[in-house]
Amino acid sequence: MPDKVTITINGNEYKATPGRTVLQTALDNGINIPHFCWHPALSIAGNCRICAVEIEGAPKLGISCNEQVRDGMVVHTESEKVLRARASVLEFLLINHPLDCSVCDKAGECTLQNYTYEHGRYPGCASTDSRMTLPKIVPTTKELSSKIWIWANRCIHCSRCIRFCNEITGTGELTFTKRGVRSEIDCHPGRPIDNNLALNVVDICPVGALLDKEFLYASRVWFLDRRDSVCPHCSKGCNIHIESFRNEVKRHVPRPNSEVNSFWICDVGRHNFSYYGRDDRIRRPEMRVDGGFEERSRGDAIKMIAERLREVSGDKLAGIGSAQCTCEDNYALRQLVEQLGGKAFAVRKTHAGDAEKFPGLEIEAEKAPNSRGALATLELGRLGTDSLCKQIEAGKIEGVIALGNELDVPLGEQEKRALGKLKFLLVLDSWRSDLAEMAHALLPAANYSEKDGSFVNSAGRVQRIHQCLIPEASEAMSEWIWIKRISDELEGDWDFNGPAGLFDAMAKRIGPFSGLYYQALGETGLPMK
Amino acid sequence: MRHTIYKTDFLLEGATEEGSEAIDFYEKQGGYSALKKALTKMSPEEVTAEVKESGLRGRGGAGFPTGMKWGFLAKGTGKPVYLLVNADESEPGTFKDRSIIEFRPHTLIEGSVISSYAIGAHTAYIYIRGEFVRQAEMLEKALADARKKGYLGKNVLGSGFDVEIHVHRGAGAYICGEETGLIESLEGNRGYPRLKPPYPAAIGVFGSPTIVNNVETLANVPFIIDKGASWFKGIGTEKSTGTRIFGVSGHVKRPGIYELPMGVPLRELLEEHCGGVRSGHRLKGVIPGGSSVPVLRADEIDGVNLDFESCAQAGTMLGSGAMIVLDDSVCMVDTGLNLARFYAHESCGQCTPCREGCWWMVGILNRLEKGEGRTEDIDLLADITDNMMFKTICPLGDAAAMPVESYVKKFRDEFEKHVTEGGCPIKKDKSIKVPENA
Repeated sequence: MPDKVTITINGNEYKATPGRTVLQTALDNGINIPHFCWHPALSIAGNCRICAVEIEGAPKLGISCNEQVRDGMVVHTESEKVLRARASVLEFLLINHPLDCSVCDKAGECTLQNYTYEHGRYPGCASTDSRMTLPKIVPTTKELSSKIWIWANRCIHCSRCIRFCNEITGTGELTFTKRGVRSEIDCHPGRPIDNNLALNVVDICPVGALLDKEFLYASRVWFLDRRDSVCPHCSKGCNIHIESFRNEVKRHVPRPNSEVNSFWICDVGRHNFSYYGRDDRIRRPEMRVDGGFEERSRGDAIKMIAERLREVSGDKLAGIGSAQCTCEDNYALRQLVEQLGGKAFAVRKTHAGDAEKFPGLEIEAEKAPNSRGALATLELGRLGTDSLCKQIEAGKIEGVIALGNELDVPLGEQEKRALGKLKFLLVLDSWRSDLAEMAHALLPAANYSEKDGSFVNSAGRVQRIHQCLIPEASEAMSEWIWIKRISDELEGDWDFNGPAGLFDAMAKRIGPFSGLYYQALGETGLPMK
Repeated sequence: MRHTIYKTDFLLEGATEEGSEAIDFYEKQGGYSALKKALTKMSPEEVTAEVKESGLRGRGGAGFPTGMKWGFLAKGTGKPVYLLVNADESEPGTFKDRSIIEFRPHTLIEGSVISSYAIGAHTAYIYIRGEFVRQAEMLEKALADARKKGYLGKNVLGSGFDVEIHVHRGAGAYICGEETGLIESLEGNRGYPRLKPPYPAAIGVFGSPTIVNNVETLANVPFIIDKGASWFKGIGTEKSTGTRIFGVSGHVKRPGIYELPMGVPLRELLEEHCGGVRSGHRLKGVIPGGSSVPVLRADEIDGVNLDFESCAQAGTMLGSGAMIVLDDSVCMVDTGLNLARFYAHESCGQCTPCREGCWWMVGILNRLEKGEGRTEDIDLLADITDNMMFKTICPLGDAAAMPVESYVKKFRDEFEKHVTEGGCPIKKDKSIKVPENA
């Protein structure tokens, strides 16, 4: 078989890989052929019929999603016959569609809506009135599980959700019931679609038929501010968009990355809002005074902390990194501790939950986004504070700078005992964890959605996160910024600034990161050595 | 039932006599001699070559050459080969396969065993329409008789060739007569026709190479093997060889089964064999090949012969050979509505044009028939049929659109009258009730 074949689309020649379909080849070359039922990660169903194209020599229109490229193939995607077939499919789809875009969650990102604007007009037809004047078929709205509604009247029967449940989750809850125009998507009796990937069907639904109950009527999608991030829920590192309105997160949606999460995220990650809007956010720098905390201004706090750190400098100082913080935060911690002569580091244990394996996505047991990154940055072999605690209890360590942001990991008995013996404990945390409660000085940190930086997932892929929100706590800052200011106060000599500078310096020094540059990580990340 | 068989040839030989379905009866006629000949004197390739040479074409409707179909079978896949017998005869007006199953089941069984031998299948399934309960029981009995005599099962007639035939009843869906819908149904799935390619000859039932043949097609095979391809080619026309079992229904004096050579003039079947339309009425039109083919107006039937080519030339299709004769008591809007209801009910719902189009046609035809139609409805109907045709996975979309399209085109004045006169101009016999909702 030849490496490449030549195919002509709309008069232009393109090189195509044998085995690819006409639709894929067209999309690869920026030619947009509308499609509903075809999805790059699912099997070909060929039922929506909108991707029909004219192939010279074929007696009838071919559906481009199922036509493999052949050498010398001549395809037309904009001929009158094609445009008419396309418009007619849209007309057929709309005759029983409720056209309730004004109250539909999908409006604004609805494929049916977009295609109707773009391709819905019959060639040469001036009228926009519907030719359908019969009463519509109105199937009932149902719950498919505690998470998902189906507005069956909006369904266009593309079967993406059914194929998703058969092929990606392997759970097969969904099917069509009834026949013909009365066909409806439904669960098999007694099997609600409650698997942990279920809500992806809402994303792949081309229309607003399948709905996430959490997001129902939460916002119009065009008001949402969409930013790239990485899900912090587990060490898989699924790529996500965080979508917010006026600094309030409305939803998480998957961001495609073929190397990590394909097109999917799990429902736990999708509905993990525990980082946002917490009552226990640390809002201002605080210093311990007589057993309680007192708020201080940023400048005062930094001066006081610098003073106290001088007292415990040298090898009496240690750093505790965090698997919830970025590589840059952890590296900044290392820089400061080393600047003061400290050598001991540790990363606290992370929360271990359940791993879940689906044919299309594996959810990791480790519920932290950056344990590999934290360990690599601090050049440690494994998680845990055992040996550090022993050194503290032996009196070798008197001061610790600790990064927090761990949501679900309470301090162990040994940790509590050891940290209680310290002369000085500086904690940078977002909320009042039990670690924060033990601090002598407490600085308000930013959580993952409020900063830039990088995470390393369980497979060793370095991926960037972006600031999506303004920190809810007015004086909160990314950990590395606090640390840089303290270092400045202590006359440190940092010749880099910003996460990019930190990362590039780190990559120069630390083996596993060598050859990587922050800017080169791009949207989908690069593997660590 | 037997009195409805008016004309028989080799396929239905003796079918008018009581007990023609018995194995002894068939053996006395020389039955199963072709099987002996094939198994003892011919290689599978020779059987296939003979069938190819005979020019036998599929009797299910499309008329695809049977030998050529067998030739497409994927080889060397390491998977078993299956023969599926399509006995899901559900097209309105069609009852030819039923006559074979009821009166000559052993022609089908012998044909299936020979064909299995030719394509290398050791398992065959007869997928029979769910409503054919009695026929399924008759087939089971015939199979048991054949098994007892060693025509079926392990080591057929001592030749070393094993084949088992199972009867599988459908659940009552027209769409399962489409070969890939049949395969899905046989596998236990919803009867959704598959996207092609791959064709069943490459990947069919249970992921294996599969041949799907119609009952009547397979029933022809023993005679081709027994008497030779050249004898078979001598019957019918050059490109449409053999006989055809015509099932004639509608307003003729003698509706029933007629086995005649292919290429018989339509008028000859209508006038001479069936006795013409009932007295006091005039011929209005003929649907020559089952409900899904375009209608021929009374003034169009002269010169049309009942073979694949002549019918195609006349703008219609020979289809399943089920001729429906309509006299002047018939309203074409009502006929269209009746058929559209059937197809809307039977559309599987996969493809957009068929799913929505069938339902839409029913609505508009219903409105026209009730006298609530609008002038623009007639063009709209034509437009809908055009948008449905040749745009779906399986031919059900075409089957639903073609008749309505032809009725609108050929009887447009009648459609217009429904609008201008505010209802149907033809007084109808309303004793037959059709359900309101499709």
